[in-house]
Amino acid sequence: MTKTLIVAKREYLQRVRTKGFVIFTVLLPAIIGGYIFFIVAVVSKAGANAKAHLAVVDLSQQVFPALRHELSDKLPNGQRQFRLEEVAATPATLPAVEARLRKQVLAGKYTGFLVIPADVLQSNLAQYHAKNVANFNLLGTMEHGLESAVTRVRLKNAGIAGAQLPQFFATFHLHELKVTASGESKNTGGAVVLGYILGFLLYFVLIINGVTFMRSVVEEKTNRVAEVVLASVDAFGLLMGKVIGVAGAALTQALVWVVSLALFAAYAGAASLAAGKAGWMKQVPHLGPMVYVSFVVLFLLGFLVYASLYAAVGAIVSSEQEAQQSQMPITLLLVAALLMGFTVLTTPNSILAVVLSEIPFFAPVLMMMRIPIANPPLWQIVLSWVLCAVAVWLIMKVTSRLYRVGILMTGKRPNLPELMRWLRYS
Amino acid sequence: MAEAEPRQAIVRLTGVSKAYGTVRAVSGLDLAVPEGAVYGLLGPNGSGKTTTIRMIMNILVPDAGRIEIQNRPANAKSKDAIGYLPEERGLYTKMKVGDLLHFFAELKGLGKAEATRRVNDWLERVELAEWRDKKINELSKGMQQKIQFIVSVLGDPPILILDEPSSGLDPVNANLLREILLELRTRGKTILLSTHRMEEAERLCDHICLIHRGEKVLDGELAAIRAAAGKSSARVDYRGDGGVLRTAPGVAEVDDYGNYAEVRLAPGADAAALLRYLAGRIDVTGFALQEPTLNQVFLQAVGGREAAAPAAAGSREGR
Repeated sequence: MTKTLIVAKREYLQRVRTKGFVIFTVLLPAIIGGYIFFIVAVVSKAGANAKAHLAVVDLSQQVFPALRHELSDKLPNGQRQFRLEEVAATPATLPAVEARLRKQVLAGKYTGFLVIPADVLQSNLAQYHAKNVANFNLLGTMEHGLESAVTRVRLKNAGIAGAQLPQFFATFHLHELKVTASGESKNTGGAVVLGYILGFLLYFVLIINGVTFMRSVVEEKTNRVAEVVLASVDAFGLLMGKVIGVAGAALTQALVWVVSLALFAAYAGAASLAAGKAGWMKQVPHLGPMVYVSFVVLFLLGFLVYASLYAAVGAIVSSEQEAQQSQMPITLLLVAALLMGFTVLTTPNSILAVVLSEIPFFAPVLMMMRIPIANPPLWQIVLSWVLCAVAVWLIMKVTSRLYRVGILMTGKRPNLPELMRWLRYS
Repeated sequence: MAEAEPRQAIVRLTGVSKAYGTVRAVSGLDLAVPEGAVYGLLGPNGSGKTTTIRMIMNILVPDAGRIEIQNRPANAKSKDAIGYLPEERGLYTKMKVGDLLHFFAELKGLGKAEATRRVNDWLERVELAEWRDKKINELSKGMQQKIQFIVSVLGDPPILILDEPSSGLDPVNANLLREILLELRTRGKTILLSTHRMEEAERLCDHICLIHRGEKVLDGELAAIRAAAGKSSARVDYRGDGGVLRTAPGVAEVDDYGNYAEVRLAPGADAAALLRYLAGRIDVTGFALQEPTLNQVFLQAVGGREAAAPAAAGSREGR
């Protein structure tokens, strides 16, 4: 056991000291962080640029005041977003007015002009003329403003006005309450992403570390250092140590990512609050401690399961090129888990979902999805951990037997009957 | 093995066999390495030396037979008593020399302080002290060899198993290695080394075991083996055309090295007559009767077997 840990320590230190590891570990959060900074910057800049100077031709003669009231949004810098100017016209003079306004838009006096027809209360139609009619943010705000303005006019015409009005325009909220054994709790729906986050985190960490790990197993065989190490440790101890070492490195990497993402999220949250656009933060779920514990445990066990598969491939193949080709099925297993996630999400407590979430190759993703949404009983959660650990142990047992033979073999990749013979050799 | 063994066998193989598919690498091998001996495992390439050693190291598992180390069946634990230098060398090339040696010292169960002391001593001894903080891949091949050797002796094990220890070493370092080995022998270590170079075994070993195609051809104390063969051999130093040796009377076999030749005499041949015959034909600068070289002993022993069983499996190179 101590020898396994010595091997693990070496593997861990060698791994976290490589340039590739440092670059990926630091670079990925830096890129994501940079992206978030960029978005935040663009959003606040975009807000400032969205000032619009509009000419409004109101043939209905009654919508304009309401519209001016609706489009009174202020930008973060305190200026009004819309400057509205009413231009008088009648149906007869309209073509001439429009022609004049078009020239003024081209000359840059106005951002654009709105034409509200006389029958707007019936037709629900208006026209917007501008050089740029692809600014969806602006168009959306105007459309929504017009809709409210027209509704306001209709209500007024129906005799409803003054203090009564606001209640017609109140925003509506739906509060989701999840029924659990321990009473009702607040929204956790957003937590299903945790399964996907764990899945993708595993996927990235495996892509980055799995292949280099497998390469190091093959390299130890091809450059013969394995035989030197095997003079002191048995094959199981050596491979187990390597797997534990690389899992430690992966956990380090994942922790760096998760912590930095949390910091970025906090930053984005603060920025959103300042910009008054904090709606998305309502999506951030409230989670119990079990969810966080499971996240770490399942990540680590999931990585161990997959790393042991990489070790198995590394034990069998005799060159790095072969290793590259053979690793495909392993990543496909993980992708399969992500795809099964859709089924599990819709019926998280069906027998199929329960069974799938106990299978070691899928548990990291599927159990992690079920924990926040389905509240599986504790035994199911713990069972999935135990099964993962058992799977690692079994895979490593078989792998170390293959390794003992594979280490001394060179040449072509063995086929299945040959592998069975290898198992007998050792 | 009927004869009494003067010393306790520290490594003992009984009826050990190993096959790879249909290829028999080692069959029915009995071997007893006396404690404190320098034991040479000899044989040509592909004769089963490395397979035998890997089984002793518990890297391979024999198909049949028993392996005992210090009178206990070989297992993962017995590795602690053995320092091992594999035939195919390998180190973690991206590690620093000092870190690498510490890693292996830790694996052999040494504490930090003790490991540091031994690593420094050994680096000093092989004149690589100033390379401690260099990476392995910055070292020359010969230097890496020496580091590899340190790895095998670092744990100060009672048994040392060296597979082709001097291959790749220049004469200076080969000498250094021999010095160290003799020193270790004086300290009571048992050394099992394999080689296909007979003259190396001749210089270093006190016991040998010749194997050929996975079977033992002969074994025992080197002095006894050579004495048994008798002074049936002559070394002829000469100048001129050595071809004449082959046709000389009483000569059974010639190993011609150019400046001198080793001549195996036919049974009952007259050495004096041979010298007289040669003196007239080439310039003989030296003539000495001697025990046959190990090489000749080996060829003779194998030759006998070949005649008995000419058809056998092909080369086992690389297994």
